Amino acid sequence: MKDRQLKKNLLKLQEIKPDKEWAFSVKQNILGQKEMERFHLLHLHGQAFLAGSLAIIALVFLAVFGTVFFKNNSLNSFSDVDLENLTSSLRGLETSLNDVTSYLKVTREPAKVLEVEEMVSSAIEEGSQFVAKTKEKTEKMDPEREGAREEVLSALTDVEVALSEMQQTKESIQQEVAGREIAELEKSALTEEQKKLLGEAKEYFAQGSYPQALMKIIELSQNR
Amino acid sequence: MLSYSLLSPVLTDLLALRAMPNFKRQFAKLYDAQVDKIYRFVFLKIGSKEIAEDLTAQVFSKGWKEFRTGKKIQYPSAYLYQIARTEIANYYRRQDKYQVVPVESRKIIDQDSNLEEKQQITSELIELRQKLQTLDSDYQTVLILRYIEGLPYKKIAQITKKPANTARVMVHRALKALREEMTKGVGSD
Repeated sequence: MKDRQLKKNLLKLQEIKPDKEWAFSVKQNILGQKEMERFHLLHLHGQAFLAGSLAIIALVFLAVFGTVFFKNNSLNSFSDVDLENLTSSLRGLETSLNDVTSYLKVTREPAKVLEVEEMVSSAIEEGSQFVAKTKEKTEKMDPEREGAREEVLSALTDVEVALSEMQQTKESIQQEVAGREIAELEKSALTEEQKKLLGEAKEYFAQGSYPQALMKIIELSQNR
Repeated sequence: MLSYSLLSPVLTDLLALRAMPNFKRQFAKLYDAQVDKIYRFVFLKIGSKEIAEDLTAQVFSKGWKEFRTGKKIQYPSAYLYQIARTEIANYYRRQDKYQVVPVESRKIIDQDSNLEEKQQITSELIELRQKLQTLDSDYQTVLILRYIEGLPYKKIAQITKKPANTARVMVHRALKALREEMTKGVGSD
């Protein structure tokens, strides 16, 4: 066997992965009860958990936007307590974004993946605008309040990272689920109509349009 | 002074409740990023799902104990691999494997067919995994880190606590050893 082939085969051993439930339970045990409850909720009531997390994200956007953007041009008139509250809200926002990302990671049903696409995409879009605008305001703060300014900026950067992770997870899960479904459907006996739908799904997949590919897969499955 | 009244007290409380301490969040992120890799590393060296789960849980539990003290860990993922290596060595020591059983004749402990099926590993990959387990422990380590996890030599050096050049040479020797093992398999069929 040539080295190239050997390396390629070694790479395939990446398929070895732990059981997801086991991985969650270990994390819960290590990080304590609160985490345990959060992931228990996520497992049992995934969709409700996701909706709750997205609602909190939307509320924070609304509240911070309202306070920071419509009432004031800069954060200079914020007291230290106000700034602490703002940082705490941003930290909570980051946690909610991470909850959504965790939910996305365990979502494997094409219909569910597609269902959350719109909600999550709009949260990402709004979130990115929110971070950019809040950063701009924060950077204009009085240099004498550098400590508080840095705290807010650091929290904003973490929110930015959480948004980017959410985006990447969303895309990779869509790609993984669509790819797996296409591979399975290719092994199945299909009618001409179904083959046509599969062809369209593959085309979308090749173009990187995973939500559209998933729509075709769902359409095909409904016709089976 | 502008009050932060638009963010209702209830929402603020809810968010504060949900926000974990910083170090806990950081470890949660580290766990999410590394759990698959550490499990895979242990599983490939041990060959048993149950034991790999136990040892992986111990790795993260020990990592968390260090992390929660606030001790500065420069390379957290490398640190987890180092704990994993120690746990694996301790496991084999407990099993008296290192002293009694020659490396070449070390058996795969668990060939759980259900697991293989679940993980969709083809027979070719099962053979590769088995051959990998017959190699010297350090060779296994560097091959897993380099070609399965795709780590750069610098990172492998941090994990194995060897100079980067030594790590590079070890990877080449390990690959050669694995290729020879694979050829042996072909010859004996």
